Order: sequence, then C-alpha cells, then structure tokens
Amino acid sequence: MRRPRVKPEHAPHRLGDGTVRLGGVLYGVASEIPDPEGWAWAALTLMDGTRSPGQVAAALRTRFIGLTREEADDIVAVLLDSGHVEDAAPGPCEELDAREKERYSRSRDYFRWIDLTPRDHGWEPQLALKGARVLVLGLGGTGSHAAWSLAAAGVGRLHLVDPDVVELSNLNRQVLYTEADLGRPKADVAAARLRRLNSAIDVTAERAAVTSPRDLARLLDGFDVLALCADRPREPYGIRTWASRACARGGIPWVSGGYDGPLVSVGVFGPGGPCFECVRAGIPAQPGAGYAWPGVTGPSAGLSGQLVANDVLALVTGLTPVPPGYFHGLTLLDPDAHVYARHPSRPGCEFCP
Amino acid sequence: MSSTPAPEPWQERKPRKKIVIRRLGKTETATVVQPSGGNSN
Ligand SMILES: [Zn+2]
Repeated sequence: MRRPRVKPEHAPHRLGDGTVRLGGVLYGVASEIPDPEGWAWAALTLMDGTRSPGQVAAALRTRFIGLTREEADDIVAVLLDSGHVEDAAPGPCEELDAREKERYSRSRDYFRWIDLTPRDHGWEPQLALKGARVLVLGLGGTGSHAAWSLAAAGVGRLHLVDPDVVELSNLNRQVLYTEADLGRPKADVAAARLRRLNSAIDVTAERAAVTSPRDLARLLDGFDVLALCADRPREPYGIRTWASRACARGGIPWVSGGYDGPLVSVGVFGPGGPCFECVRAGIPAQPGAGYAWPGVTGPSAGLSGQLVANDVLALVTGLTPVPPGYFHGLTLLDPDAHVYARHPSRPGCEFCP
Repeated sequence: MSSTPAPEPWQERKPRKKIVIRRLGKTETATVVQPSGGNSN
C-alpha cells in the first residue's frame, strides 16, 4: 500500500478504556483493538493518506520512544492487513471507463465498506462483475427483480430465459413490464428493458421452457453462475433438482429463489458445500409445505429476487464468503424470524464434492 | 512431572509490543439500525 488511509465508513472511535473500535457497527466488519498505550489510535490517526507505511511507522516511533522499529512496523502491518484501510494513492484501473466509474461509484463505496481484503484500487469487485456471465432462468416475480438488480450492478453478460408472455396479473409484482407489454414475450421485453437500463453490458434472451435436464445443461454452457428463478417443472424431481445435478457436474455455483406468499427463501449452492438435494433432505417434511398457491404481492417477489441477486453478486465478487450449501430467507408475517437451514452432505451423495 | 526451566539470560527480554484486532461478535454489533441517510442520492 502506497499511502494508507482509514476507510471513511470504518472511521475509528476510542472508547473510555482506550479500546479502539473500527468499522462502524456492522457484524462481519466491525472490530476492536485493546489499545491502552494508544499505539493503534496514533497509527490510525497518522493514516490519513499523506504518508507511506514507513513514514507512519517512523512517526509512531517518534511519538512512542519505547517502540522498536520492528514493533512499529508490525503495528502498521497489522492495520494495513485489517481491511479497515484503503490506498489514498490507488493504482490505475483502465478496464473501466469514466462513465462506468461514475455509474458504479456507489457500488464501489459499498464493496469497499464490506470488503476486508486490502486492494490496489478498489474496483476489483466491480471488475469481477464485469467479467461475469450469469444465466437467469425465469423472469417472473423473482426473476424480473433479480435480472434488474444484476444488470444495474454491472454483470457483464446476462442471458435471460422464460417461456411466457406478459399478462395483466403479472403487473402487481414483476418489475420489468408495463401495460404496453401485455402479450409480448417476457424474455424479449426484459432484455430490451435491461439494455435501456445499462447499455454497457451484454444482454441476450430466449423465449424457451426448460423441459429436461439436458435442456438445462445446454443452457448452462459458458456461464459462471446460474440464477434459478423458475419453479417449473415442480419438485421433487423438478427444475431445482435438475439444476443441482447439472451445476454439480459443471462445477457451477447457483442460487435459487422463490416465495410461498409471505415466506421468501433463497438457496445458495456450489463447489465447497453440500448439494441442494442433501440440504433439502435435512429439512423435516411438514404437512402442507408442498402447496403452490398463486397469492403474492410485490414485496415477496422483490425480496426474493433481490436476495437472489445479492447472493449472485456475493458468489461473483467473493464478498462475503459464506460457504455455499444453505437456504436463507424470511417471512413477512414475523419480522423476528430469519429462515436459515444448513445440513451436511448425505453419505455417498454422488453430487456432493 | 515437568517444569519450565528458568530462562537463560539472553532470553530475558521484554515481551514484543504489538496490537491485536478482534472482530466483534453478533451480540456486540448492531442488529437494528435506523437508516442514517443515503436514500436521496
Ligand atoms: Zn449431495
């Protein structure tokens, strides 16, 4: 790092006993340093973007006579590695033009905030998104929101697949369509809409139903991540099972989202974690859980689609590194409840790593 | 029985001065935060 500076979102605070709090109040980001002598506080104060790491260490030693050179260097190194510091003299990022940097400026700030890996220029997560190829299956309540979010975030290559046309009853929740689109294929309308949203990315679409595991395997070819937002054919041996097996064979991470009325849930699967079928097998069967009633409003659809998008962004950027192989979500009927399920691989599962 | 031998004179030095960062746990961090901004632009 050339000229370290504490990230603005991570600004340090000193507690009464000298302890330094860093990284705000977010779990996964925030940390503290017991600092009775004031070394950390002094070093952080010196890291204002005007000094090299060596200059920070030297200034630290003039302030604390008892510190050896190695000790001062160590204190600085610990802070540089902590994720709370960025480079005020960032390296060049020529893969993004000025317009892209303006468009994604808030994303960069966000990633900087949650990212605890020291970076050269801070655009690394955005470059990962630009290089990513994501297949979105299903463009209904979940898929329309997921596709919008992925396009807005700058995923460089999106392919959209859906068999249906836009109907009036879709418009209470499906964000990409308008009354003028009634009767038109969702795939075509969605692709056109997303190209208007973000002309810097490559969006393609096809009007097609996935009718076999082989269909799905063909569609997956050339993609890094699958966003599965379709629910037909239904389980137990339906599109999620097909996706699980095809993605396991191809080593492709995937995210599946949906809702049952007010209950929203998303699954994240891929190399390094138990497969969908194993996690599902660990969830006790409950009478009445297999229903598929159509009732839904925008919030369920939006939440499930946006959670899918968030998990895809996390897989692509590596932020944040939650090992795959779990379901999570929420129910709108109980603000206290976070739905979460993780179960180990079944012995001998041929689709688990 | 084993006992720790007395340090040789050359081992008798002060412990290295260092700082240790500890990531905060779930109960130490905010679970409810009112949005403080960022909605307008
Ligand atoms: Zn398995």
